[in-house]
Amino acid sequence: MMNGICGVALRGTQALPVEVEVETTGGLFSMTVVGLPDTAVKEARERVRASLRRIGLMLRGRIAINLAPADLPKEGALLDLPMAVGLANGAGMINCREPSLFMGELALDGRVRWVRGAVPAAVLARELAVPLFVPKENESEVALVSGVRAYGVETLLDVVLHMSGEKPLSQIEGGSFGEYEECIETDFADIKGQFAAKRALEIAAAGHHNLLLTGSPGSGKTLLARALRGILPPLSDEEMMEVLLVRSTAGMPFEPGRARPFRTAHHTASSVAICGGGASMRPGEISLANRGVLFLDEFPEFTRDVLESLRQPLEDGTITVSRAAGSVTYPARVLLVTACNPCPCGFSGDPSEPCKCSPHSIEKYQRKLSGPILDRIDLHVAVPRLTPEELVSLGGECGESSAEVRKRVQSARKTQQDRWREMGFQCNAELSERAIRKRLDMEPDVKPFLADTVKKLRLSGRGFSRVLRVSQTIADLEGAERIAVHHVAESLSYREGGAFGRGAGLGWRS
Amino acid sequence: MNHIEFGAAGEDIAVKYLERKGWSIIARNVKVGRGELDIVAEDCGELVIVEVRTRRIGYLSPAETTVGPVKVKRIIKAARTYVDQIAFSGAWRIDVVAVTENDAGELSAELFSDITMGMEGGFMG
Repeated sequence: MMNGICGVALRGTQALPVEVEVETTGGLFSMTVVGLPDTAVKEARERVRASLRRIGLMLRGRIAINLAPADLPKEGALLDLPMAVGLANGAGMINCREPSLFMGELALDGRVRWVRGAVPAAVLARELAVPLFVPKENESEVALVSGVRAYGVETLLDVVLHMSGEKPLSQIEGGSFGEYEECIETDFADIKGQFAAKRALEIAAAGHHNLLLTGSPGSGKTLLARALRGILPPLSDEEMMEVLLVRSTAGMPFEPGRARPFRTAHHTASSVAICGGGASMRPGEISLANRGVLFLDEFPEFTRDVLESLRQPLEDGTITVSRAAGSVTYPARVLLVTACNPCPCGFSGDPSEPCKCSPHSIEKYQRKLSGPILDRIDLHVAVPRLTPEELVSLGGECGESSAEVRKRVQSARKTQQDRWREMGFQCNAELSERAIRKRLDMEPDVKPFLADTVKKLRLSGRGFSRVLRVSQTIADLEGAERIAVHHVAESLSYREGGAFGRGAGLGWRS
Repeated sequence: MNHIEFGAAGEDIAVKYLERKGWSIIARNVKVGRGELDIVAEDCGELVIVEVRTRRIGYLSPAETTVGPVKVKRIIKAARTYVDQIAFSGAWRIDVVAVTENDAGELSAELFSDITMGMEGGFMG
C-alpha cells in the first residue's frame, strides 16, 4: 500500500501513510506543495531548503511536491523530514532502496526536532513492516512499541549517511514501561477522619464506579479525590499502550511509570477542551484521563454543554469527535470523580454552620446537574467537615496506607476480570442489564430484602441496577462469593440523596 | 561621464568580475519586449540572468537594495520570454551584481545569487 518515501498524517490516535512524490523541472526556482497541506506544511519549504543547503544540496528549477493521498488534509511540521529526504533522493544525493516512514520537524540548520504522534507512527510502521525514522527526542516513546524497526535521527545528515551506508544508525530498542511508583503526594494514611469517604473511594477504585463527593468548603473533597490515584492498581502493558498513544497524539512528553493518569479540569473548561476537537482534532481531557481518573471539582459550575457532553463517553468508554474535516474516535474510559458543595454558600446540611441560601437558589444550584448525568454516577458520598477533636488530633493514627488499600483493590479487580472475561467486561461498573439479571449470584435472603427496599425507597429500574453493581463490587472487595444482605445495605447508602438523607437540605432528586 | 555611460561602465566591470569567477557570458543587453536583460551568463550548467546595479559614492542606499519587488517582477517577465525564445529547458536563476564606486573613484563588484529564492509566497506571483 506504500512505496518509496513516506511521511505520516495523524487521524486521532491512528497514523496514516503519506507518500511524498517529488518532481523537478527546469525554470526559475520555485517549490510548490500540493495535497491539502496546512500552513505549517506549506512553510516547510523554507525549512527544507535551508536544511538541504546545510548538507550541500542546492535546490534548482521548479519543484513540485505531491503528498498523497491528495484528499487527506496534512498538518504539522512532521512532514518536513520526508519532504527533505524525498528531495535529496530525487537529486540523487541518497538512494532510498526500501519503502520507509520518516517523521520530524527540521530546523534551519538541519537538526531534527521533536514532533507529536511518534507512537501512532511506530504502530503504523510495525503494521506495514517498514523502517521508521524519528527525531532523536522521540526515541524514548518509540522504544516502547515492540517489534518496530525504528531509528532516531539528530540531523538530516544522519539520514543521508545512514542511507549511503557510511554511518549506519543503530536501531532503537530496549524501552520499558517502568515500574509502579508510589504516589507520594497524598497517601490515605495522611487523611484524617473521613472513613466513610475513604471506603467509598476504595469501592470506586475496585469496581470503577463514578463518584460524586458532596461537602461544605474545606471538608477535604479535593484531597480525597487526589488520594484516589494512589489506590488504583498499576496500568497493565495493554492499558499503558493506550495511554501512551493518546499522550503522544496530544503532544505530551512520555513519562515512565505505571501510575494511572489523573487529570483535573477547571470549571471554565470548554466542551472542546474536555471532549477533544479543535482544528487538529486533538484529544480532550476525558481521553487524556483514559484508564485513569478525571476529576471535575465544583461540578455544577461547569457549563451545561460540558456536563451534557460527558453523558455519551461515560456510557460508551469512547468519544467520537466529528467535524467537517472528518471524525476521529478516542478512548474515554475514565473513572469520573466529581466534587461539589451542597448549595451555593456551601453549608447546607452542615451541623455547625447555618446555610444562608434561599430554597430557590439551592434548587437552582442542584438543577444544574441533570438526571442523566447523576444517573451515571454510581456512588454519591457526603464529605462532612471534621469535628474540632478530629482536626487537632495531630500525629494520630489515620488508618491504612494507600498501598494496603491498593492490594485489596487489585485483588477485587482480578476477581472481576476473571469472572467477566467471557462477557467482555473489565469491571463491575460496565455490567449490562442482561448480565445483572442473569449472572449475579446472591444469597437466598437478598431477594426478599431487595423487593422490600425497592418498595420502600421507590427505586427506579436504573437505580436498582446501580445498587446491584455496587453491591457486587463490595462483595468482591470482601472476597465473598455471593452478594449478601449487608453488601446491598451498604451500597444503598451510596444512592443519590443518600448522602445527607432526605430533608437534610440536600435531596438530590430524592 | 553621464549616468548612462556610468551604468555601462558598471556592466563592463560586472562582466569582467563574472568572467574571473569562471562564468561564460552568453549575451549582453538583450532586448526582450519592453525589458532588457543586462547580462545572460552560464554558471555550472545553469543559466543565469544577471541584473547589474551601479551606484556612485554618496548614495544613501547600497546598489543591491534598489532591486525591489516591481523590478524583480519585470526581470522575471523578461527572463521567461528570453528563455522561451532560446528554447532553454533547464533550470535558471536571477542574480544581481552590485557595482559600487569607492572613495578613490574605483568600481568594485559584488554578487547576490538567486535573489528570487524563498519569494514564492511573496511577490513572485
